[in-house]
Amino acid sequence: MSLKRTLAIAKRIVEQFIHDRRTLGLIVIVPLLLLSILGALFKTTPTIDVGFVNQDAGVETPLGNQKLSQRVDGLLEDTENLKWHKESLEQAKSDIENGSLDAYVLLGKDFSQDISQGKSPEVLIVLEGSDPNSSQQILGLLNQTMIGFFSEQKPADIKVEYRYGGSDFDSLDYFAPVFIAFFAFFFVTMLTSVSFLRERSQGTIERLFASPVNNAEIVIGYFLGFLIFALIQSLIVLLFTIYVLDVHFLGNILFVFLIELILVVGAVNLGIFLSAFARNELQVVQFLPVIIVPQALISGFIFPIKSMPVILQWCSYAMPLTYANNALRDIMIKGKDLASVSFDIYILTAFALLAIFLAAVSIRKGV
Amino acid sequence: MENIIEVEGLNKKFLPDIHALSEFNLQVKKGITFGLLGPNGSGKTTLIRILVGILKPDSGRVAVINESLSWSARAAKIGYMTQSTALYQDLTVAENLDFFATIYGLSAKEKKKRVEELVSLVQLEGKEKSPVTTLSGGMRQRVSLAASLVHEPELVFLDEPTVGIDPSLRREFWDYFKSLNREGVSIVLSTHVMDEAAHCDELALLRDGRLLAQGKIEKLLAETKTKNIEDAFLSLEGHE
Repeated sequence: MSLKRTLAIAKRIVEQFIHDRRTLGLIVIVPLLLLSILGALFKTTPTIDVGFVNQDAGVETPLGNQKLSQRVDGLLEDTENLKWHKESLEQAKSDIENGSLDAYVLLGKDFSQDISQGKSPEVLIVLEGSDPNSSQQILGLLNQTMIGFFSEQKPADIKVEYRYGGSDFDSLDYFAPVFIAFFAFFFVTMLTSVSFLRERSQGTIERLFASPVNNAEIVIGYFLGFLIFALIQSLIVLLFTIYVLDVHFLGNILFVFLIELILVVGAVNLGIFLSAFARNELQVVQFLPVIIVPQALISGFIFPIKSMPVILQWCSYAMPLTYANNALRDIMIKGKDLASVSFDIYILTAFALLAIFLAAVSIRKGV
Repeated sequence: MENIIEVEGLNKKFLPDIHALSEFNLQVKKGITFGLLGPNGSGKTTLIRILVGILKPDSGRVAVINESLSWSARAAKIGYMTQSTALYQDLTVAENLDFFATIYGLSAKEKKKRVEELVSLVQLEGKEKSPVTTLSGGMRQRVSLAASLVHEPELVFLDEPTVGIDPSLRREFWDYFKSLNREGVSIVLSTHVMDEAAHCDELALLRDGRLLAQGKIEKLLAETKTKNIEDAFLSLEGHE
């Protein structure tokens, strides 16, 4: 194997990238744009508007008519993410219709009567309901608030400790590590496939195969060329998430790059393998929903693997991104070292070796 | 004269049932321009791809340059211009030539000298920094030729080298091929243009993957009692 020839291929990949400013922009700007959007989404807590409709008729006592609901009324306090609106039933119904209320709480006319007779008072919560996630969130918040109103007992003094992370950690802290792996895997697989497809369709691969270059030099040259851009991309994504989006980073950046390096070996070779089955660039793009999207959905990227159906858990354990995500989260959020993520590293290495094998057997396909 | 290529009983079949080459025999002498003449689909490109080592034959003996050479040592002595221009479209002319020169192991000094020589040969001075994608078809063809000669190979395979090139430059190419022959370089080129074949020292006439005849043009004309190559080809085809 010749180092000179290998480096010549890597240099050529770099030159092609430098000429192709649009792709260069794509691999840097798109991740930053997506992360900025996610940052804005995760860091903004939505305010829930809840109507309060009090129809309590009260209960007759020696002191006159008493409305026990007034105690509830007096406890309604607006919080950071919950805003109360006291209004009539008609108004509340109309506000739900026009979207200015997310829900309303109705205290019926027998509210005081029921309490005075030792019965549970009836409280009706009407939800807008079109978004199940919001509904769950609203119910949770209202339950918390209502329990406070009706509880006579002093709440327990609960102390919370975080083994990892902390109360100042938010969803973005959890997502940032997996984005580094996902972007590298996605762009390297896609760009290698397109690049290699061009080698095939433009005939340059034929010229290379007629030269003293061997398969290993081509694969390693490609890997080195793409690795440079994958690492630059990761560094930019990492710096952006730490310094602009204020994501917590407790790990060693070199460990992050090592995981990335192993992942990129797999991605380059997977790209070469896929290019053998595409006739044009559109067909390469058609592979993405098959190869990339399932990994984005079930590699623990968005949904925790433990909460998935068993069959999807099995699928998830067959995907390289699952292990990259796991390792990067452990390194970045928990500050773990390489020994602690050695299992993930072994699996990622095994995937890289499998991809090298697939690339090696398919590299001359169609030539 | 020593043969630089010897082929005996060569067979190559493509799926499902296409006999690209059948019991093919060929001898090419060193230092000449040898033409493979035949219509499209006659097996010229398949033969060249087997001779440069890209394609494996199903059976038969193939000896190119020297049978005792290793695969990579032989590849380093061969130049190959494919039928498509086979260049990196987004790289410049100089970057393409520089890349192929590095692949063939030229030093930085050799590369600079060789790239200048070749750019001048293919008359693309001033276009060194132009991306290939901005060049006309003929210009790309010229860069492609330059890329296959960048390492000064002993044996050059040119698959339809003069397609899309204007007549005056074509004449210069043929003069250059002759000068390469004088330096001991052997050239094997394919063409389907009968007039072009007249520039070759020897010809092989191909049809449907079989060799109709091989030899010097005069010999082929005498044997077929014809006055030009086209008639000779038709006559041989008729005897099939």
